[in-house]
Amino acid sequence: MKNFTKFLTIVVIGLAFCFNSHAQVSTTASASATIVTALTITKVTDLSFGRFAVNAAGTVTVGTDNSRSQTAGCALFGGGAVTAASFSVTGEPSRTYTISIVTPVTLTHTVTPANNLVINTFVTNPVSPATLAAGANTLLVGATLNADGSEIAGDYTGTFTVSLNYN
Amino acid sequence: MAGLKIFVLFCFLVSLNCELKAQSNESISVEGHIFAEIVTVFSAVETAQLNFGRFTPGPQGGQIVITPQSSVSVLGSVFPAIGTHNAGCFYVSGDLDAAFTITLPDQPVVLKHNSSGRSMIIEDWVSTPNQGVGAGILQNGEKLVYIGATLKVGTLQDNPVGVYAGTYSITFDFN
Repeated sequence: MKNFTKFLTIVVIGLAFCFNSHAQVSTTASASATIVTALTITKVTDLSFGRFAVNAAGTVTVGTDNSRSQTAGCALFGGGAVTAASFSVTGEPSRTYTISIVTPVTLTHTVTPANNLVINTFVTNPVSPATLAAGANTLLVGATLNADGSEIAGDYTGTFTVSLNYN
Repeated sequence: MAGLKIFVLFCFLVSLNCELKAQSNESISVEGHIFAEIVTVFSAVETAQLNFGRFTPGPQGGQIVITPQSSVSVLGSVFPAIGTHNAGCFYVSGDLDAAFTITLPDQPVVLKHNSSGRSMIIEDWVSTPNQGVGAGILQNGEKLVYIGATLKVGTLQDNPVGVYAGTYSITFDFN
């Protein structure tokens, strides 16, 4: 009796597998993928504040239109290039993207690195979030640098990083 | 077992590759450079006062002319006396080889008698370097600018004995 029961169980399980295999059905499902144009950015022009004197604490600002202004403590001089930074941005037409620039940025004296200028504020044109209207933009970047009045004469340099993210 | 390990590794690499591709498509960064140049603060300090020296007015009055080289000449009835005279001098400093423009007084400057209120005027200002756009150059970051002028002297009644003093403004423009 016991052996019969085992046999019956195996048969039932086997039949169940058989029925299951016969119950398989097939259907179709949709799959899709969209390849978007990669976001690219290329530097065209560096940011340059030109020449100025520092008498006391003050600021020098370069606008995205290449204009330059100062507050008391700084005096502007000619003879040097004054340019907003510019970047060429390409990507998916009509898609928006976020622009971000990490601050503060420090400009260091090329000979005496202990002397520096600090940038806490950047401005962009277009502002963030921007739209890649025709798949390409020119991104202009201006900034305001801060002098505390103790800086020595000479050249100051630094770098800043512009990051773009698709929205 | 070895086949299973290879399969797992393959799956991991595929997933990593997909992640990197997604990242590169969604965000991107670029670095820009920033430049600034601080120039030496420009300054101008008077190192010698313009001094027409000592003289005695005659009956008709006259002029005393001091050149930027401190040579003096007298016109009319004015009689020089013993004493010193000299052109004005300013020490100008700033950025190496920077050009600057000197602007001298364009109106007569009045010298007042120390007690009577009588006056004389100074006009015809001249300088070395000459005034004019960018005429001055800060060789080695510095320059001495000398000032001369003409003092109009009245009669002894107009200008009694005493000390006459006044001030004048001169502008050094570095833009």
